[in-house]
Amino acid sequence: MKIQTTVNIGKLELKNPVLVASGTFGYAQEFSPYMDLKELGGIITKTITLDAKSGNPAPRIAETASGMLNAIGLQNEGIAKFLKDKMPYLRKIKVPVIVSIGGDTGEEYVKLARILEKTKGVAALELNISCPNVKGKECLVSQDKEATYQLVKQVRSSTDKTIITKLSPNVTDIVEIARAAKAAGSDAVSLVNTFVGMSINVRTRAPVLGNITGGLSGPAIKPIALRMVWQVAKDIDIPVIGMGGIMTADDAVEFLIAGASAICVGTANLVNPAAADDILAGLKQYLIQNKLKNIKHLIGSLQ
Amino acid sequence: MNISQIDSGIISNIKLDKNYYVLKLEAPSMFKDAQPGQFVHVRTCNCGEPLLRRPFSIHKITPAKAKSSQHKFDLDILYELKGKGTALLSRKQAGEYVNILGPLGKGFDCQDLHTKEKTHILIAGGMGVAPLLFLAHKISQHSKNKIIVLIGAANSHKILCEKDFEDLSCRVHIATEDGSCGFKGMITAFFEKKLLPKANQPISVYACGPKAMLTNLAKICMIKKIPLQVSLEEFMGCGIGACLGCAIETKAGFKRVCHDGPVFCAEDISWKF
Repeated sequence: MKIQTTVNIGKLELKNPVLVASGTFGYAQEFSPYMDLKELGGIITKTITLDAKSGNPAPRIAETASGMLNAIGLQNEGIAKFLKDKMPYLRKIKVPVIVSIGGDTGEEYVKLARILEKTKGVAALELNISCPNVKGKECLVSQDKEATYQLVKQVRSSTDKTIITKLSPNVTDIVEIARAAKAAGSDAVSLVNTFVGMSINVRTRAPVLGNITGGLSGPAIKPIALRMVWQVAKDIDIPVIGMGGIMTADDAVEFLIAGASAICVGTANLVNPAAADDILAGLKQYLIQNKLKNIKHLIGSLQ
Repeated sequence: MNISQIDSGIISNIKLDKNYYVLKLEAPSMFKDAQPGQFVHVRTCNCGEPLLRRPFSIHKITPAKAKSSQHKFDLDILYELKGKGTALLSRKQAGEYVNILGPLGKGFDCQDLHTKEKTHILIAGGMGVAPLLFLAHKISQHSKNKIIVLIGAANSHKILCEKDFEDLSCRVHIATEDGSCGFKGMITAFFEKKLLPKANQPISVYACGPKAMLTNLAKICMIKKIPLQVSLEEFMGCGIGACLGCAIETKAGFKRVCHDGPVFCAEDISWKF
């Protein structure tokens, strides 16, 4: 049976809905010994900022029940080095490259968007307005609908590329933030980023993470992430990219049924560097077994 | 670089003492070029609890007796029963499989093996013997230089691999904090006060152990201008350089223990003396 797995996110056409989540897949090259990168629906890079960021003090990772906390702190070399050192390899893979961008101000996002507008091989931008591990901020942009609207609008006016706004689950009502992103011109939303959590070493009575708090990810968050994707997808009419604890093809299928047009494999990449490949294979098998000729028949098919 | 993810057959999983085990695995041909100090990233269970892999230094690699395509070498891992991951590992039996990534990371720089009249000093704190046995094996294979091994631990029960090193013709010295075996005190104190004054130059030092021991050693070697390579530990995520979870501070900014290390030149690390 011939199956159609193409999905559309804004102006972007993905040959399949399996993406890799920002921050869990480096700049793709690290994973080349373990999987065929060109099979991916797309690659979302680690978040890039205007200037280099050194990140948070160690320890940056802690294991928790069926999940993990991380507080990397957006360590990256800055946009100039990204373009010089990472982009040439990413371009060669020949799959859509979605560059995740982050900043302290709207102007920084705009500057990044303008630079990437002119960069060959950049398929779309993901606005990371929801990283919980950056110091000195009382509130994330994605925790305030007005701030979300303003920031997305600013970026929208500076680029024609597809904009995906990444939302934080650490909010009272994620739907109203998604609506704000849409109203400001975002082509799609991706959710969820990690849940803020912490872990304490009972022997030393000190926090396990150098940053004290970190973002929880992995299977532990999947039911909450799935609920949020379902809530958002039935409310807004722009594509939703779903993620949060997807480890298997069945997990991915759940998100698609809940209304996600595409999914991201995140923490699973750290456990199995071929996870995205395995999930894609399993997803295709699911479609065949369930006689679904087009993946679009699965998306939002909750009974 | 020749690395891969494989389901590796378990040859044996032997309990050495109360809390220590040696896991012997079937390893494919790419382990031929494995370097001392490199590690394998082991998935202790497929059920998601614990979720992340656990890194273990390569302890020993020997050519397999009965070879098959997936089994060219016997790969030994020495581990201590510490938490959920190692508890699960300890219950695995011969004939079962364990998923591993490797060989990963940057090992010890062994370029000076052929320098004549050189003394190699290997210093282990507790489980730090794990990568150093592989290193001693490599040095003894490639040169006739003298190898001195210092092993330190809290007490005599935690001194491991003494005989394995002696079998490689290494001269072994022991130090225990409670004095139950060998020199009473820290292994770094033995190194500084007892060994160094008598050691023939030039020497190279290779170390693996707790952070406090390595910090102390870095200080001693810096003052005496002795080249020191250290194998560092940090909680790891992916193990392949992507997640930046295992970063440590170096004089050139944060580096990844899993990819830029785990072995570093001591002079490059930003130690907190």
